[in-house]
Order: sequence, then structure tokens, then C-alpha cells
Amino acid sequence: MTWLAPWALAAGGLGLLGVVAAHLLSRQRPRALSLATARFLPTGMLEATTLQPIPIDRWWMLLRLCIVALLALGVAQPVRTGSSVPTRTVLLLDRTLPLDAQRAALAALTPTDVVIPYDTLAVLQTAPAATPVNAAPALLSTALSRLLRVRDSLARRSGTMRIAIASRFAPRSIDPATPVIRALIPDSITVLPVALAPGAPLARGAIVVRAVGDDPIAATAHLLGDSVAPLGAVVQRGASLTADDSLAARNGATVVWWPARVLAGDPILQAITVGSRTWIAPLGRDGSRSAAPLERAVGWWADGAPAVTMHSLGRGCVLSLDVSLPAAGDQTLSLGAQAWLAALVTVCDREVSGVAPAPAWLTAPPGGEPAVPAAASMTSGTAPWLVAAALVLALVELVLRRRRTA
Amino acid sequence: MAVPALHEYGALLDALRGVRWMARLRPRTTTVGAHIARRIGPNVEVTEYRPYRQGDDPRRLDWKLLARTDRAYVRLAPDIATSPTLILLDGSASMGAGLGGATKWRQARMLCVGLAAVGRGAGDPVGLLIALGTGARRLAPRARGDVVREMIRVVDDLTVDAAPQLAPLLEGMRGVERVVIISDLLGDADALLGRGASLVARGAEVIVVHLVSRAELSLGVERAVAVDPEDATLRRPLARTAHRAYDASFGEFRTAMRSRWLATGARYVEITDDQPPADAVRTLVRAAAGTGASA
Repeated sequence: MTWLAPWALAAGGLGLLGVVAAHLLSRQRPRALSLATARFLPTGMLEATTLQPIPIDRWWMLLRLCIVALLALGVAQPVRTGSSVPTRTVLLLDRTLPLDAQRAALAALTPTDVVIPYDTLAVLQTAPAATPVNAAPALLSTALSRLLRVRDSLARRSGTMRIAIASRFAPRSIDPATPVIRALIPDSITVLPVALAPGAPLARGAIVVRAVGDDPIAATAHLLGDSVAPLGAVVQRGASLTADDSLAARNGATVVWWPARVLAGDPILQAITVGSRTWIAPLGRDGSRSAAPLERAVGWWADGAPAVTMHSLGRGCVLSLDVSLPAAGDQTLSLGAQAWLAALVTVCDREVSGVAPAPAWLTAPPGGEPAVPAAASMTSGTAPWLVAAALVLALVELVLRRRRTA
Repeated sequence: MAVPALHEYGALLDALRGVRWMARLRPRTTTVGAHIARRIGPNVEVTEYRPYRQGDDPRRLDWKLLARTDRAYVRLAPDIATSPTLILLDGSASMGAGLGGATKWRQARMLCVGLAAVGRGAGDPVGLLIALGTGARRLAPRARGDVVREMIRVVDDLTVDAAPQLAPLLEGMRGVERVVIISDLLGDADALLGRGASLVARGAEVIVVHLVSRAELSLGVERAVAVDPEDATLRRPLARTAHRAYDASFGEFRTAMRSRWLATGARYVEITDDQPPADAVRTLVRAAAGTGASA
């Protein structure tokens, strides 16, 4: 229950005190008698006011207290904040968050709350229908754009509106348009804490290579040793990913899906850059695999074509390489190849496991308090009935008083 | 408003049977009645002889005396006549209001009927004049047998209200020998007094019945506001502390009324509303005839 004009409650309280005080003042008004010889009586005061220890005319006082209370409540305009007009939370949910983090953010919501899950596309869903799905990348500007479109309609249907965000605030999720769109939203945004639960089944730093026979990448991984990948890494050299690979990725590991294909024809010297590492070797571009829509490039050929793509999966990620190796040679054993592979298996760690602090311009409203509070556009449906009840009681009191004095 | 039941009128009339209301002043009427008239006429009971003067009725000559003594004398004897009576009844609101209810108005009607019955018993024409807020109600003096019944019907149908003036009703009256004013004298008392004095000076017999309520004589109500029924703006506290001043003021008023009316030559009688009506009528008759003390 909230009040659109709470000052009326204070005024009503004063009015109630006034009624009680008036009934403590006994205004003795003697009964009138018809006396033909009244002219022979001396003149004097016809009424006297005295202070009584207990209120007089208690039924009348009760009736008048009801009138004042109903009037004050009516003017105060009560608004129910229960199920009909809720305090609604609008949650901007980063879909790249791990499942458990998303579930934790959704757990505090009520069925009337609204969730705007976002990645590259933000849609409006009610809380029960919001199915956490991992996708990448998550652009905050899309969520804010969506919120900007629906904010007014939500504010009209809500008693108060609270905007919250659960995100990892990855640097790549904030594009130049984000602050501009944020400035158009007058509300403050609460940042929900995101806890990334630990618990990788793989030993920390271990690189597991799933390959058949003498695989050159397995040798390189062996040379790298442990502690290269903080949350572990899996290099899948098969034709497709397995369920174990997906499970490892969901638990935070970096899964490198690098199909073991042999370079056909004469090898050409190529360069692949991942992060700050570039591996120059006779490599082949397969080009047979097309990138999925939710994948993004994290490694590039020298001409800028994507060589390594990544998509998030659970708490980890899956890297897909479209690179074929020569049938013979020790290029994978070079120091450059080892450093490049070490950089490759840590790409996912940099991208996924971190939770950056929310920028200051995101949480605070751009102009201080909201220009138009959500409650300002509300109306109280109970207020007219309360005022009408007060007027009816006042009429009853008037009629009863007249009948009494008649 | 309290209306006397018919059997109460009957009891009153029975109680007043045989009461004679003799005129204190000799009436000037010529109608033969029960009162000794002021005029000397040819009655059978000779009281004196007077020498015949030119202009005397020859039929009043004592022919036998003329034959014996050759002197012309006329026979003189006091005449008897009726005394037309008018009862002026105050129908103001003050007569119907009071701490004890409308007892003054009830007593006034009983007195009115009782006096009318006594007067009618002597063969006198009796009339009624009631001052009301809506105008005066008049019954001319008549000696018919049903005049008392008609009076009962009239007074029972009335409702007192407002503050009518009594004095103007007494102007221009002719042929009335007795005027009985039944009032609480709380209206136009001074004007009424002047008009009554004028009537006395003209030779009429004026009897003032000052009706007072017993509750007005001894106030017993406390913590109330007394409102004048004829003037709602006149409101006075009816506290115990005011009783003494009230008694003094009201007593002074009644004393003044009594002395002023007596000074005019009228008869003044104060009747309370709790007095039995028959006794009150007898008191009035005695006081009017001069055989009883004016209260």
C-alpha cells in the first residue's frame, strides 16, 4: 500500500485530534423551555464551555472520527502495491552469463516482473518464460534500446519500477552507442552481483588433447605443460565435438575444436593471429566450414579473414579452427607455435570468466531523480469511494443532528 | 394542547348552577332582566311619586290620586334590566405555553364557559371576543339558550399562537355593560389598561382576570434556557441563581398590574391555573359584584 498524497494522512491525524479535543470541550447548551414569563428572568450567559476528563457524546465523536478518517484516506489516495499494481522489476539479463548465474538472477523475480534477456538481440519476456540461453556476444546497447521502448508502458502499469541488470560487463559488450542510449533512460539501474561458481571437473591448467594416433598438436600441448589454461582446456581433433567436450566447456574449460585435416597441395606460409600472438607457418585454409551466427572471430589470418571463431557455452567456450596442417614437419613444435597455442587456449578465459565492474554512467540516472516518477501517472481507484463514504456519513450526521434538535 | 373534556364542562356547569352574578353597576339597558336598572321606570313596585311635568308619559299618571286630590302625580319605580356581558379572551401564544403545559389556556376556557353560563343564567346576553394571531373571533352578546354550547364549540376549536393585540378589540364597543378580560397580561398590557380605564369611565363594568400559571409562580427547572413563546429572540438562562430575581421581578409586575387596574376602577382578580374552575368562577363573581375582595 502506498499513498499518492501522504500529506493528507498527517492532516487527517490532526483532524482526528481536533475532533477528540472538541468532544473533550463540553459546551453546555441547556435545553430550551417555553416560558411565557421569560422576560422576568435576568439576562446571563446561555452557554458555558468546560473541559471534561472523558469525551462527551462518544457515538457522535465516533461518527465524526470516521468521517475525518475516510476523508483523509480518500484525499491521500491509497494505491495498492500488491498483485494488481505491483512494484515491477525490469531485469536486463546478460545471456552470456553462466546458467547458474542467470538462474540466481532470475530467482529473485516475481511473476509480474519483466526480463529483457540480451545478447545481440534483446527481447522482452515475462519472468517465467525467460529461458536462459547462452549466446554471444551480448551487446548492452540492444538491451537498453529495448528497455527504452518499453519503459513508459511498464511505468504506467506499475506502482514503482525498478531496473536491474545482471551482466559480466565484458568490454566488448559496450559499444559507443551504449552511453548515448543510457542517457535517454531517466531511471537508475541497479547492478545485481554476479557470482561465478567455481568447480571445473578438469584439473586446473591441464590440456587434454583428444586425438587419434600421433597428433602434432598433442605434442605441442605436451610441450606446453600444465598451468597454461587456468580453467583447463580440451583440444578436440575429431571431426565433431563430443558430449564430453560440451560438458567440459559448460564447466568452464576452453574447448578447441580443431579437426585433424591434412593440408592438401603445396603448403603456403600463412600467419594466424590470436590475441597478441601470431603463428607463422605453412598452414592451409580449409574454408569448408561456415561460421555460426552466434560465433565471433577471435583469430584472424593475415588478410583479416577469421581463422578462429568462438562461441560461449556454459561457463566456458568453444573455439573452432579452420586450419589444416601439413602432413609432415615440426612447425607445431616451434616456440612460436607453442606460444600461439598457449594464447589460443586462454582466449576463452579472458572472454568468459571475468566480471568487470559496471561503468558509473550506467547505474546513476543521467539527470538525478527521474523526471517523471512512475507513481506520478497513477490514479487511486479507492480514493473516490472513500471520499464518497465520508460525504455520506457527513450527510447522515447532519440528518441525525437535525432530527435530534428538532 | 389540553382541551377540557365535555364532561368537565358539564361538571363545571353543574357546580355553577344557582350562582348569581349581579351587576355591580346598574345597567343602562332597557331590556327587562335581573339587574336593577339605572333608569327609573313604570314598574309595578312604586317607590315614589313625582309631580307631573310636561313631557311625561300620561300613561304613568296616577289617575286615582289625581281624582282624589286633583293633583297630577306620576308613579315612579326602579326598572330591572339585563347586563350585556362581553368576555375578552387572550389567545396569544403565552397563554398556551408554559412549564406546566397549556394549563393557562385550559383554565381560561373553563372560566370563559363558566362565566358565560352564570351570566346566561341571569338572562344576560353574553358575547365572546377572542384575540388570535390570525385575527379576532367574535360572538356577539346574545341571550339565546345555546350560547354557552356555541362558546364551547368555538373555544375548543381554537389554537393559541402569536402575540395578538387585545386593546384594539375593545374599541367601539356599544351596548356592553360588563367586560371580562381573561389574560395573562403579558401582551399589550399598557394599552389594554388604558382601554379598560376608558371603558370604566364610560360606565362599563370591567373585570380583569389575570391568569397566572403555578409553574410561573415557582420555577423549579434548572439548567435550561427559557424562551419567550411570543418572541423567540428573548432567551434567558433559567438557573437556580436567577430564581430569586425572577420572583422579585414577576411579583413586582403582578403587584403593579393589580394596583394599576384597581386604580382605574376595574375589578382585578388573579387566578392560577391550578385553581378549580368552579371556585375560580365563584371568586370572580363575588369580586365582580363587590361582595368579595379583589385579589
